Amino acid sequence: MYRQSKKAVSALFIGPAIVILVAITIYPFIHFIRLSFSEWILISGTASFVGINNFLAIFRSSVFWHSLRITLIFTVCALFLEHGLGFSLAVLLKKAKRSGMIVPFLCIPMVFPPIVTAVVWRIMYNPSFGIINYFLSLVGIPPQSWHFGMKLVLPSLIIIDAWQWSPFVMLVILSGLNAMPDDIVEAAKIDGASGLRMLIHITLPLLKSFILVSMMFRLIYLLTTFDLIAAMTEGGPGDASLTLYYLSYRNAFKFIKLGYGASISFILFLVTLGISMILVNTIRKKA
Amino acid sequence: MKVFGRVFLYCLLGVFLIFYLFPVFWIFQISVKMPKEALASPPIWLFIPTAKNYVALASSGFLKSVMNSMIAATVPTFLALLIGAPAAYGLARLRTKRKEDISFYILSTRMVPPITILFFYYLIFTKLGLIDTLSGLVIIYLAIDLPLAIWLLKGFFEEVPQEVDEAAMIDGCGRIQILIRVVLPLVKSGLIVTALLCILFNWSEFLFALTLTDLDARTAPVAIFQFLAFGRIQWGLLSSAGIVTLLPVVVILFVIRKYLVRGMTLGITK
Repeated sequence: MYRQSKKAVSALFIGPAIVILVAITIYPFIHFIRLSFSEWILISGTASFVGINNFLAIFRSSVFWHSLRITLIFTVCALFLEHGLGFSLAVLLKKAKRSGMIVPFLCIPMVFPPIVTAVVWRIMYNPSFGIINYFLSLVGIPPQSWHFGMKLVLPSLIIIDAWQWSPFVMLVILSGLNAMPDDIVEAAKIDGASGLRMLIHITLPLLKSFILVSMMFRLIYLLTTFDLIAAMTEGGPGDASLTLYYLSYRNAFKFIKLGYGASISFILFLVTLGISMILVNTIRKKA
Repeated sequence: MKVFGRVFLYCLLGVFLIFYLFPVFWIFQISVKMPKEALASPPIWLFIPTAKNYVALASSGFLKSVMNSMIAATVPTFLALLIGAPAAYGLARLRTKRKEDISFYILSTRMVPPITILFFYYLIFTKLGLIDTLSGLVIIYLAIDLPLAIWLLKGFFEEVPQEVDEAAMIDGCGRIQILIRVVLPLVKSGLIVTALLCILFNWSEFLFALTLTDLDARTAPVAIFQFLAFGRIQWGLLSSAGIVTLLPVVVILFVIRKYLVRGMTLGITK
C-alpha cells in the first residue's frame, strides 16, 4: 500500500519547494541571462534583444579592463592575506591548551554586518581623528589618507577584508586540524619530524581539502564583494577601487543601464561558475 | 625553553585577539562618548560614558528600521523552514529520481552572485509597486533562505538513523506523521541552528535592501548607509546604530558557535 503512494508522497514533500524555487530563483536567473543579451530602454520600459553587442561594448571599454585588474588585485591579495592569517591562527589555537573558549570571540568579525564593518573602519581610518593614524604617529609615521587615497585604498580594503574573514579560514582549518588522525601525527613525531617539516609533509597534505574548501568559498565571495565597496569608497577615489561587481551594480542600478550591467554580471557569473564546478567536484570526490 | 615557547604562543594569541576585537571595543567607546570627545585626537581614553547617542538614536527613526530588519529577517526564515523542512526530509529519505541533481542545484544557488537575481526583482517590483515594501524584501530573502534551509536541514535529517523512521512506520505512522511527530523533534537543534543562520544572513544583507527599499521599508543596514551618505556624519550616532545592529548577530554567534563552520560552508566540512 505504501509503495504505491511513495511517488505521491515524495511529490507532496519536495514538490512545493521545487515549484517555489523555480519561481523565485530559476525564473529570475533566466530573466537575467536574457537581459544580459538585451538593451534596456528606459522610456518604454522594455528590453530589446541586441545579441552580443553588450559584451562587445564591454570588451572595448577601458573601464572594464581597469576594473578587472582592480578585482584581481583585490581578490588575490585578500585571499592570501586571509589565508595567511587564518592558517597561522588555527595552528596557534591547536597548539594552545584550552583555546576553545576564545574561538567564538575570534569569530566576532565574521558575523559583523558589513555595513557596521564599514562604519568601524571609517572611524579608525579617518585621516583627522582616526586611531590608526594616531598609533602611527606614536612611532613617527606621518598620517595616511587610507581609503581616501589613490594608492592606499586597495590595501585599506584588503586589511578590512582580512580582519573580517580570516576567522572563517581559521574555523575551516581548525576543523581540519581537529579531524586529523592523532596516530599519524604521533608516528611522525616518533620518526623525529620537526615543526616545519611536519607542517610541510604531514599537516599541509592532510589539510588540502579543507584549504581548498575555504579558498573556493572565499574566492567566490571576494569576487562579489559589494557592501564593503559601497559603504567605504563607492569605487573611488576616481575609480581606484572599482571592482567588476560594483561596476555592474553601478551601471545597472545607478545609471539604469540594466542590460549592460547584467552583461558584466554575466561575465562574473561565468567565472564563479568555473570555480564552483571545481568545488562541487571536490565535494563529490569526498562524499 | 619550553616555558618560553608557551609564553610566546599565548602572547601571539593575545595579539590576534586584540587585532580582532579592538574594532568592537572602538566602535562601542565612540558610541558612549560625547561628540567632542569622540573626534578628539589624540584619543581621550578616560571619559564619563554617556547614553546620549542612544537616546538620540531612539528618536531618529532608526527604531523603525530595526523593526523592518526584524520582520525582513524572521518572516522569510519561518517560510523557508515551513516549505524547506518537508523538502529536506524528502531529499534525505525518500527515493526520488534526480535527487542528486536537485540537491546540487540547491547548493549551486549559494554560489551564484546575488546580483544576478536582483535584476528581475527590481523590474517586477517596480511594475507591481513592491519597491520599498517589506513584502518585496520577504520574497527576495526567501529566495536566499529556502535553498540554504533545505540544504542544511537535509544534513541534519541524514544524521537521524533510518531505523527511527522504520520503527515508526511499523507502528503504522504515515510519512507525514513520522516527519512531524518523530523526526522533527529529534532535529530540534538543527532547526534552531538553520533558522538562526538564515536570520543572521538576512539581518546583514545589504545589496537587495539597498536597491529595493527606501524610506519606508529600509532595514537597519540601509539606514546606516544613509547616515553615512549625509554631508556631516554624526559618528557617535552612527556608532550607536552600529552597536544596536551588531548586538543580535553576536548573540546568534554565541548560540550557534559549534555549527558556524557547518553553516558557513554548507556542511562541506562537517
